[in-house]
Amino acid sequence: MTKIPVKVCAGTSCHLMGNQEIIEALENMPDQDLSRIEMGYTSCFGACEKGPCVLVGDKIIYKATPEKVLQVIKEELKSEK
Amino acid sequence: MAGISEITVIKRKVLKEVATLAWQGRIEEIDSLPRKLTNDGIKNYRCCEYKERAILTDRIKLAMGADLSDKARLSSLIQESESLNNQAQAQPMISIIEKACDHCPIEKIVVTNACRNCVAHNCLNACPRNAIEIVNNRAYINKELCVECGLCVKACRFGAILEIERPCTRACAVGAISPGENSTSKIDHEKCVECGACVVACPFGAISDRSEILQVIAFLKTGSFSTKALVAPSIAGQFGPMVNWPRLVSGLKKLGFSEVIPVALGADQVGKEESQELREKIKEGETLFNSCCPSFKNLIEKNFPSLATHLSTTKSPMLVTAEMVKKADPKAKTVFIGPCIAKKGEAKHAGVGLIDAVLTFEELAAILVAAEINLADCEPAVERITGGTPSASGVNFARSGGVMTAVTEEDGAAEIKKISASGIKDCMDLLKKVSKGIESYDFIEGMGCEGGCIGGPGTLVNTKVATRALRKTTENKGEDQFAS
Repeated sequence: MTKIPVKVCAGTSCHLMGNQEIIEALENMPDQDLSRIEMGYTSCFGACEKGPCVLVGDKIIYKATPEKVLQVIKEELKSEK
Repeated sequence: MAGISEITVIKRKVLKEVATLAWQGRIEEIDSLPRKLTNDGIKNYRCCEYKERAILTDRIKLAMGADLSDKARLSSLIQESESLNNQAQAQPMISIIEKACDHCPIEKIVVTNACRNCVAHNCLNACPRNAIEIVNNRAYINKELCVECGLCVKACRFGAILEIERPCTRACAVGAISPGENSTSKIDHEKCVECGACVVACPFGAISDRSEILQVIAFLKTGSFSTKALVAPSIAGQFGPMVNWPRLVSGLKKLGFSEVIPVALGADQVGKEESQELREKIKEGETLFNSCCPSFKNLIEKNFPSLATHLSTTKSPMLVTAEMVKKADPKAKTVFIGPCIAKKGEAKHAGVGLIDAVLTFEELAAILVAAEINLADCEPAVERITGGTPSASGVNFARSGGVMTAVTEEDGAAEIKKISASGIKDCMDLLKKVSKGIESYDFIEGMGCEGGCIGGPGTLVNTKVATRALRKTTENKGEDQFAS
């Protein structure tokens, strides 16, 4: 099974706007879901004004919150099944 | 830091916008900032946009370093805020934004709808003052008799009686916050230890600290002296998973700091000096308290003055490091960067002449974003730190127990009776026992924030993440080590 790539922007702007909460929410995902994503970081998506930014698969999420990100991941995981 | 709420985001947006105007030389446009912020979406929290803007104006004032009692227009406060001799300097660092204070209920014990007027009436029986009677088929508390002991709350099997307290009052272990006139909260600065727990606790963001970002930006933009960054040991992990010490150094240099010095170097010296002091105290049969945490020091000086003789006379790591820096370059401006609000007060008292400004990690991030410097993208700096690489024990000053370990294990003396407490409440409980002679120790470490500095109000990551990063810095000799 291919893993869904999830990249969290770890740039200073997204960090200030709260990416830490998102990283934490991802790390706390249930193991069976966590094992199906490939989590990583990137230094900038070039959309600082709309941060925090997270890339899930090929979808970029602006003004991301833990809830938004987990929802998109859930949908992606469903469509993968 | 207790999670990133909307209040955190609003505070950070305000800091970022103020820093951006200053960095771009457009600070005279500051009067239009409240409107810009509401247009950008900070609205709908209050009754109307006008109230929202009035509150934002106060937040901006604090971000500029001005005092809220100054009713002048924002733009007329610029010069004072940029120079170091502004009026606000003498004012306390923590203020209540009265317009934002929600006048939370003052009544402490409240009977709710869940009261069933049961037959047992445990509440009534538990009340030592006979303050409870049954009115309209429900328990009623006579406020004139109630002493708020809370026994009825515990006695009710339905949990129908609540003990509620304003979050600020509850957070303040020294009891410095109480409802003032108009029932908005007031800080008694004679008691306040500047720990910042109330700033973190208020869900309306009605308590905040003054920032010195305008002064620091003015330093960085002035070419006639060099500005040095003194970075607290709690820095590990604060700027996210991609930022290590060499990247931080590189980013701060881009911002205009001429040198970046880890305060853990000063902590190493403090550890040595304090352990020397401890040996002498033990000979005299006395107790020694650490003096590095300004909140703990304030707590003793203001609330336990009889114990003040036990405080170590060793300067804090911030001041020791500043002394090193000023000795090498007397004209240099020193900016302490840390997780702490109380350090802002320390800089204005014990630190006069040594520390020129204090930033929290949060405020530094706001300046970096304003200057469009992304630490995650910075090429790691390669130079070594003047003064050597700090030891793991110096770095561990950042967490609860770290100072105690550094001071008491310096010469491996195992029989030293020692204890550490963190968070003002735990510190108070310990000091009460010590002052009454119930417990005695050779060395007491007190930290104003839970978990130590890494739990400070100006941090960017939570204590768990910071602890993990700190451990990596002290244990792993790899890329997170100071020397690159």
